[in-house]
Amino acid sequence: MRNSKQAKAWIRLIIFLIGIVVINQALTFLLVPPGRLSRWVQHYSVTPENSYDLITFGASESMRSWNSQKADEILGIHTYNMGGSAISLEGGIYATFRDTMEKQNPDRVVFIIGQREVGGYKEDAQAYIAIAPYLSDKKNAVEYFFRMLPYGGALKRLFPWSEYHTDSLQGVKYNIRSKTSKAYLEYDTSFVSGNPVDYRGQGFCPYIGEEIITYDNLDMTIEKSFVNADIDFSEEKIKIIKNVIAYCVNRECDIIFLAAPIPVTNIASYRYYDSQSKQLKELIEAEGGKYYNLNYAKPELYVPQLYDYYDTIHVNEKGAERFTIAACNLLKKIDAGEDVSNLFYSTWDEYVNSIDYVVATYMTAEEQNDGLTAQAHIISGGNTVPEYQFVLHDTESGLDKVLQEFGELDTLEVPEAAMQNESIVLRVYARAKGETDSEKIRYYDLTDLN
Amino acid sequence: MSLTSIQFIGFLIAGCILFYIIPKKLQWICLLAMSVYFFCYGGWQTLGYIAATTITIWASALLLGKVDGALKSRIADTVPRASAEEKKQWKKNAKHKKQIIFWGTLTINFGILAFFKYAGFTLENLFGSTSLGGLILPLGISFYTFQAVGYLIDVYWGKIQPDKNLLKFALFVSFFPQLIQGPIGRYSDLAAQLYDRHSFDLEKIERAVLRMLWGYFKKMLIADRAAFVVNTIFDQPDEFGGAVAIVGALFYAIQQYADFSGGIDIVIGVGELFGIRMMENFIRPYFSRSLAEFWRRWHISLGAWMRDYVFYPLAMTSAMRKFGQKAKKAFGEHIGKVAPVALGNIVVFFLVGIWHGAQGHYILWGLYNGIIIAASALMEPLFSKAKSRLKINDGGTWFVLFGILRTFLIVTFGGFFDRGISVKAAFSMIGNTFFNFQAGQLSRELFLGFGLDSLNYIVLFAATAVLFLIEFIQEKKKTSIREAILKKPILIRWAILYLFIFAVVAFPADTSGGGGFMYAQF
Repeated sequence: MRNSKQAKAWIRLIIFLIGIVVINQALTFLLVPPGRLSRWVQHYSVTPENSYDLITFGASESMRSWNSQKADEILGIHTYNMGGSAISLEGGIYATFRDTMEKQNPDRVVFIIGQREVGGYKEDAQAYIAIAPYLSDKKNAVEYFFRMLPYGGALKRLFPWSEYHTDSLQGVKYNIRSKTSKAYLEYDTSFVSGNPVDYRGQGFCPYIGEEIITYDNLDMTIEKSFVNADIDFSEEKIKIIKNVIAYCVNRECDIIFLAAPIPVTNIASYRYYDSQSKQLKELIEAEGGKYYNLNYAKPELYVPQLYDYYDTIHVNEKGAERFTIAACNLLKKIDAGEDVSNLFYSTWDEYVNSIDYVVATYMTAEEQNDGLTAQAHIISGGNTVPEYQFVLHDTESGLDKVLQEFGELDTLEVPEAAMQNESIVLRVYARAKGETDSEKIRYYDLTDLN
Repeated sequence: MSLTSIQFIGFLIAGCILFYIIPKKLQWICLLAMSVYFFCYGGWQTLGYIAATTITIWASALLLGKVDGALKSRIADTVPRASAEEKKQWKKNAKHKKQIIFWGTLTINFGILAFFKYAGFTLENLFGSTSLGGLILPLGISFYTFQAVGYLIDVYWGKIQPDKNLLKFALFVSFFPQLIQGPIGRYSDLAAQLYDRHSFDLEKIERAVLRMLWGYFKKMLIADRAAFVVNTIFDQPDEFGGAVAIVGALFYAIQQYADFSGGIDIVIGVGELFGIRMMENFIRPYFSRSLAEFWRRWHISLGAWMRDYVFYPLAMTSAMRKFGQKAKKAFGEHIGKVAPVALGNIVVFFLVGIWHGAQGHYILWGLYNGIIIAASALMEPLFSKAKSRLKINDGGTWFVLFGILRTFLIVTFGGFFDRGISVKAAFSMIGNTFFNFQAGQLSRELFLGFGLDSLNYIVLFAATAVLFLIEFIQEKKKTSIREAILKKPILIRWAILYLFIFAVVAFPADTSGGGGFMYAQF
């Protein structure tokens, strides 16, 4: 009698808990938009086992820089880009890696990683919501959840609708309509077509939007950003790198790490880039993996162009194609047993000295009694001899009034009277001596003249 | 491990399942293991301190018991019977021994507590450094020390028998729900429940979960939001005018109550999950009609501890009796009766202030409360006369409302000292309140600048309204809403549980800048 009462109580408790799960799923279905975020791994999750020979992993740097179709064409194999936006090494990257490796068992794995991947970068709960439900093995999703616990946001991961939800009844209607559509249910890629940053088959796609990075008036807050900080390698992330390498080595799967492509401005101005790249190389090679930094590649392998980027860490469509070609050529040479070390500059200085143009310029100013003294600075190759032209630029008419013609002098005293009009800014143009290509002449505006 | 973290919920679910599926005789061991795990979750480095408190107090209580036992047997066994003089001498010797054991143990334990609570403050004032050489403040040190010391005093006074089982006593000291912010339990109430055998009962679980959810509701929907406003205003005391200072004090009143009582609701609910009923720590204090009543309804376990272990012993001292007699001689019957109580109250509240911290603003806050309570007691005849002359009905609605409002204002005003970052800051805000008050200081932009958007204010005000309504109904009808809910059919009960669960999940405040319970720092 007593036992039966106890059993009933337990059953009721279980029913109550199931109720929580059901309500949660219903709210997720109704409130969370069916956008790309919840479908990141859509194609992969319905792909038959052992479909791919090479899979790339990483965060958005990887997602944007690997063109699977181009790689297939060059390598003659079937590749997949598993990079994903805003995911971290110990989070989404490792979860997709474990899940994919179990299902696909590729011959080669390529990790395309940026410097932030080994620093303190924290993954948002949104990434979990987009990945975990679609992992083939739910054990990996559970492990992923627990690995993310120390980083907070557990409630958001368990109850995604609480953070990511539509705000209107129309939105709810749209969600129901979209999520019950054939295209959505059958993982039809047309579901996301038209979105420049989404899935295109064989994983994710290079960015095909119109935006390109501008090096003029380059925001020097970059100085404060993670790309220019002395990153302490996170112990957790190092552990993941070691796990990844050990996993691949045990499965006799070739594992290669490639440094994510970043604009030359970042490398040339980046105080710590070289030492961190070396540190990463040592770490990976000590564990039995391979590391290559294509940013240090000589022109015969890879010539990244200034406008291959749409922001300071991501390549655009053209940049992705160029990077993929270079990476595939590198892989082919490695497979052919060639010594590839001569394809890279051996030191950072050697690399920097190969840059023969002004990459970017910026200006600082000191107030004087009757005006200010402007000081121009450049980011450029080590042997670049710069010259500067200072002008007063009218932002309304677009006209320049030259204050100091091109020359090696990098300072200028500007009288107060010259800066009375609010539409006038002090502009400096910088170029390598004698450079005539207008694409290689940079400018920077000092706007706060008053 | 924060009580609001998913880790804690996971820990609780796992622990609860284990607790009810293992043999019942092992349940207390399960609770002890959970308590040790909870205590060591953030690091085991401070385990030694709670172990030291547990062992010293357990051993001392045993010794006290032995001394008592030895005395009794000596008196009973001595043949021929001992003389009255001999018995007196033995009792004197035993008392002396007990005093040495008692005060020695008290010194050790209050010494550890004082070191952790006040060494940083002392170092800062003497040397400008707050570093304790890397020592970490043990979790819940104030609460477990007071609880253990309360037990020792009870044994010393012969109210309870010492616990012979060290591990069981360790569970009494370290029982995990109460570690962070109390309530400060009594051995006589708690021990038997902790060591008892408990059967799984879904109704009890529902009751417990409902209590916990109410706590989470208060903490996550109200307190964590109000904290944005409070922190911004109180941390920059000179930045805002009087109107903003008042807003800060009002939000602090809401935050403090929702935070502390919410935390206690969670703690009591957790206890109930394991079949253990802990002492209530709040009885709707903002409905109190006087400050003295407020303190009987706010942080009750600390108030009761202070009353039983400080106030009464103090009131019984010969010095206090003499003081009463002198006061009676000088000022008459009423003052002679009330003055020792008033002085006792001032001492107790001074200690309550120090318990919160060694900083001057805490001491001032304690004295503020003590002096008002003392003055109210001393002037009671005057108030009675005034009420009689003005023909005020003590139980009349308007006078009750007046009393509640007056008490709320006194408590809220005290918040300037309690939450102020220093004495200077507290007085600066008080000065602004009186001499720099302009309604125009309040604006939509100001409120949005505190870090909460419109939706957050809506959630905060709606949740506070729900809190007020429920407390008002409970106060007026003297019934428990929880018990009323539990009498409803299962579908309604569950619907309410689901509603609370999903409300808490849907509207938690952003605690990325901190979170945590306010009283955990004490």
